[in-house]
Order: sequence, then C-alpha cells, then structure tokens
Amino acid sequence: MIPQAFWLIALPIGAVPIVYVLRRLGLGAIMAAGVALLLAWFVTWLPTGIILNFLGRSIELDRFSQVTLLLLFAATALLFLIPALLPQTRPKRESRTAASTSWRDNRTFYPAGLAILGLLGAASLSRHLGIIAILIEVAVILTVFVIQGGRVDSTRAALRFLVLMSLATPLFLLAAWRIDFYQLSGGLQTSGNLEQTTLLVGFGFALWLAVVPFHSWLTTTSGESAPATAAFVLIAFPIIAFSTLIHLLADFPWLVESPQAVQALIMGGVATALMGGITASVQRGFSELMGYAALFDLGCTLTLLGLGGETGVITILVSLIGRALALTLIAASTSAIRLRAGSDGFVELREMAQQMPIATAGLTLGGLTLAGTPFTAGFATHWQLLRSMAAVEPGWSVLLALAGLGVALGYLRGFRSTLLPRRLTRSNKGSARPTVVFTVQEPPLLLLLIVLLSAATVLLGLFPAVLIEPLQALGITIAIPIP
Amino acid sequence: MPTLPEILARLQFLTQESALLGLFITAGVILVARDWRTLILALLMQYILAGLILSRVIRPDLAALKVMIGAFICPILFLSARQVSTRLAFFTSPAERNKGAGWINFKWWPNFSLMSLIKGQDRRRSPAATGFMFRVLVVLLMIIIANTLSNTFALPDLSLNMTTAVYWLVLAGLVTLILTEDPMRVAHGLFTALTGFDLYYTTIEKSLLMTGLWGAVNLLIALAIGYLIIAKGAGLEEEF
Repeated sequence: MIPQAFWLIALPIGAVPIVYVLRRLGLGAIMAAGVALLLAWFVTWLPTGIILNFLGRSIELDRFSQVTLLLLFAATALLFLIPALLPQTRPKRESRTAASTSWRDNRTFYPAGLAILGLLGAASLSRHLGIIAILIEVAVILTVFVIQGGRVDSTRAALRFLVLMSLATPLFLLAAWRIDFYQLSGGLQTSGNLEQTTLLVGFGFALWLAVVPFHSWLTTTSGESAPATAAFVLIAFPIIAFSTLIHLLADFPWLVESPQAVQALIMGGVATALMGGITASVQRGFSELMGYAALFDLGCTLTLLGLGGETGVITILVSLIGRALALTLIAASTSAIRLRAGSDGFVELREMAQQMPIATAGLTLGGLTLAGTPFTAGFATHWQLLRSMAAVEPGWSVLLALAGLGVALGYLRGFRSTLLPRRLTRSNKGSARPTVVFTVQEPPLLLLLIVLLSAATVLLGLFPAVLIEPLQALGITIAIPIP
Repeated sequence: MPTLPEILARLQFLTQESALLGLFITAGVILVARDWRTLILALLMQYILAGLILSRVIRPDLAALKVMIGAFICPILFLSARQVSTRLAFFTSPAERNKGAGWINFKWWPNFSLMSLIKGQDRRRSPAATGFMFRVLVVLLMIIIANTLSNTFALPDLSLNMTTAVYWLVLAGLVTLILTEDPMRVAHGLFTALTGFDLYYTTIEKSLLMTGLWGAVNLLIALAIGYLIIAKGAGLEEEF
C-alpha cells in the first residue's frame, strides 16, 4: 500500500497536466491554488513518524516538517491566486520585457509551481542529503522557467539562480557521501575529514541561502521576475533550505561542534543582513527593494540559527511565517500597482498613494514587516534576535539594528515618493496643479487579499502569542544542537 | 562493430598524462573562445577525454555512460545556439558580417575567418569586458594554480593526474562563469566545472542510483540553459 504521505508528492505532480492545459484560463490558477490549499490541509492531517526506509535513511514526516510544508503550501496557494485576481487585459503589442509582467507572463507558473511543490515536498520528507540535493536541483531547473516567465529582455536572473544553485548540488553530494562514509566507519574519522565535511555543507548552504557574496540569485530574481513568482522563489527555497539545515544539524550535531563553525554561521548571517539592509536603503525601485529586504530577513534568520538555544526552532518558524506573510503582501501590492504604472521604480510611482492607497499601504507595511518594525509580524523575532545577539556580541546587535533601519528607510523613501506629485512636463506645465483626490482603483478581490494580509501582519505584530503558543503546543521535538 | 572493451583497448596508447593535456586544451579553449561551434566541439572533446580517464578507474560501461550524457548535452546546446544563430543572421547586414580586418582574418569563404573560430562573429553591441589576451593569461594562471593545488591538497583515492584534472576543470569552469553572462558561455563554464566534480564523484561514489540521478540532472540543466539561450536570442532579435 502506498503511504499516505506520498500524496504530498503525487497530488501536485499529478495535477500538473490538467493545470497545464487550463493555464491560459483563470481556471488553471484557481485549480493550482486549490491543489496547494488541499495540500496544506492534508499535511496537517497526516500522522507524523517514519514512513519507510530508503537507501538506509528514513523517509519521515515530523512536526517541524509539517509546519514548514503547511507554510509553503499556504503561501503558494495565495501566490497562485495573485496573478489570477488581476484583470486579464491584453496589451496592444505583445511586449515581453520585465516591465510588462501581466498575468499572461505567468502562465507557466501554475503547472511548474505545482511540480516544484511536489519536489520540495519530497525533499522535506527525505533525510538523505544527496537525495534532497538532487530533488532541489530538479526544482531549481523548473524554477528557471518560472523566473524567466516568457520574457526575452534579460536572462540574468534565471541564469544566476540556475548556476549558483547548481554549484551547491555537487557540494551536497560530496558531503552526503562523506556523511555516509562517516556512519559506515562507526564514527571513526579524523578531525580533518569532519572539518572538510562541515566546509562542504557550509558552502552548500551559503549558496542555497544567498549568504553574501552568493546573494545575487536572490536580488536579481526579485528585480527581474514578476512579483508573484519572485515572492514564490524567495519564500519556497529558503523554507526548504532552513528545514534541511535544521534536520541535518539535529541528525549530525558534530557539524557544529567546533566554535569556528558556529561563529561562521553567525558571521554569515550578520554580513548578509548588513549587506541587505545597507543596500536596501539606497534602492530606487520596489522590486529591487523587496530582494534586499528579503536578503536582510534571511540574514537575520540565519543569525537566529547560529545563536541556537532552546527556543531557536520556534523563533525561526515564527520568522519564516512572518517573512512569507510579508513577501506575499508585497507581491500582491506590487502586482496591483503595476496595473497602473509601467514599472515599480520610485520615480514612476508618484501620486500612486492617491490612486491605489490600499496597495501602497500594503506594500509599505510588507516592507516594514521584513525590516522588523514594531507593530508588525516581523518585530517579535527581530527583537528576540537583537536581545540574543546583545548577550553574545553587543556590537553586532547594533549592526543588525542599523541594517533593519536601512530596510525601513528604503520602504519609507518609496512610500514618500508615492505621495509626491507627478513631475510637470512641458505639456502640462501651464495647467493648474490638480487637487489631491484619493481613489481606490485596485481590483476588488486583490484589494480584499491585501487588506486581509495587512490585517494579519498587524495582528501578529500586536499579539505574537497568537502564533507562538500554537507552535509551542505542537510539541516540536527537534532542537538546534547549539547551546 | 567493435565492442566497448575493444574500443578502450585500442585507446590504450592514450595515457592519463595525454588525456590531462587534452583537458588543459579543451577547457582552455572554452575559457578563451567565443564562437559557439568551437565551444561545443571543445565541450564534446572534454566529455570524451574525461570518460577516457574515468574508464581506467571505474567500470568502463559507467564511464561510457558519462560520455553518452555529454554527447546528449552537446546537441541540446548546439540546436539552441543554431536556432538563435539562424534567426539572428537575418538581421545582420553583409557589411556587418564582413567587418573586421587583420592578418589572421584570412577568408576561406564569405562570412568565415580563422579568427572567428576563437573570437566568434561578434554581434553584440557592447564591447567585451575582458579581452582575448586577458583570457589567455587567465588560462595560464589557472593551470599554475591547479598544479599547485593538486600538489598541496591531494584528493583522497585519486592519482596526481586526476587530481590536477579535477582542480583544473573546476577552476576553469568557475572562471568562465565569472567572466560571462552569455547563456551559451555560462553553459560551457558550468558543464566544465561539473565535469571536474564528476571526475572525482564518480570515482568515490559507489551508488549507481546517485550517479544515474546526477547524470539525469546534468541533462535537465542543459535543457534549461537551452531554453535560456533561445530566450536571450529572441531578445537580441527584438533589439534589431
């Protein structure tokens, strides 16, 4: 009999042909979102434990994987809906550049996205690093089509994503072989061998988690891809990477036995967050800004992992949930704004706050959540991070706070530009300046989604216990082996 | 028709040293050349030479499988580049095609020159970030670094020649990736680095499943890059 957990893989991949056929219709998006929601419900209903043994390693679903998969499926369901909620206007001349990221450009997103969900689900269940690396590599290859999305002006984002992620796979394959060898030898290995394995794993995760200087796949994807697909990539891959890393550390604590390894983890996180924060503060467009804000958030989560502790896993989960919420909100808001503006550069978005007030507010709120601003969903974890870091290294705590301010500054600069009046051109210089009139022009269903996501962000910011207490009650037994 | 062991027996004269020398040339050409036909030919030769080296240390059928995978990757890249090249040719004027002069620009037939094999028919509007001589110097530098690395950090279970080959291919591949953003050249850089890794991984990993999966992944990467080559070509077409 086929184990029930395999439906997590079979269901999305089985739905791919149907969604592919229906992809040109709105029905394809709704069906893809329906399948993702069904998966989200199904994963909560599944019993935890070992499913079977494969290649001497167990395939199992634990509480931690259950939560990460639930988050992945739920966030993807919302992201599938965003392009479908946009009006299906046909452009006069079919342009295939980054500026014209209408729903038509995202047609491959639904079938490919479902296949990617199946592969990432399989990777979550596996406990063999080599198999996980191969599954994620196949998901990466499919993501290339999602990122490119039919555009022909630039292939930089898809190419960088493919190259950097593909370079990580050999490192993981070698590390998996070394780990197998270590186990077969009964743990009799020289410290040099163990250090080499740690180094391979470290570099592999640095590529997967966009640690500076390997961050270009994340920022270019954000800058060049459509908002929904960019958010999908920025949410899905880090969730699975963190899930894999935490499982790996729990299974093989010797990977972080040396203080240098832990120090490298924290330093990598702080450097990434700092780079993201500083660069975010000087961006001139919301797409690029989303990439650097996500980079800052990723660095903070990595630092949380390096700091470890008893509550480390719960804090990381809360951080990943806040991140997914913020990125989905930003994607929904940016998609709405792009209906009226050619691009999401600050200069082109002048007066946007009057034309699309809800989308502009949603976009700013999403950005401030990533920055960890008070009263948003990101605050609790960032505050926890600053406190934990202050106990270890007060100077780095200040750097993290400054980086957060950089992200917030970037979004506030963008928000300010949406309030400014349009620049007067020669043709309209003579005419009187129009009076400021706020009109709601977002598509109604997308407006509802933005409002709901914004409310959830504020609610979790005001009452973080709403999220933390159920997670604690789940009884997640996995722990980061860093005291 | 000769069997695989017979073919390998006939190729006994090719020692590891000569195969390593061949890899220095193929990866060097990949780093220096711009013409897509030259690049694909060098990549194919590289897969054959890597397969030849592997056939001396692992099961010959597995080594042959590696060559077969390479032999599938090259046509995927060839067809993608061919499609783009044919479409772009319509947008290039004869004057532009005949542009460029020099002692080595000897014309065998219209639109072909000796130097075009290395430099390619440059249809790009912006100048290259790195010149021909720079890339030649980089090749020489990488050869020295690969030799130094293989003498300093020997890979376990591998001979000195194989260790040098692994380091050389990985370094040459990574440098190619650093120097370009063109999907065709990126593909060659990536596959060169992955071939270097393959030389090591196939030798140590005994699991046929993992080796097979890795081969399949290589083919899928080629398909994805083929798609990007065509997308980039279509973009250039729109520019015209």
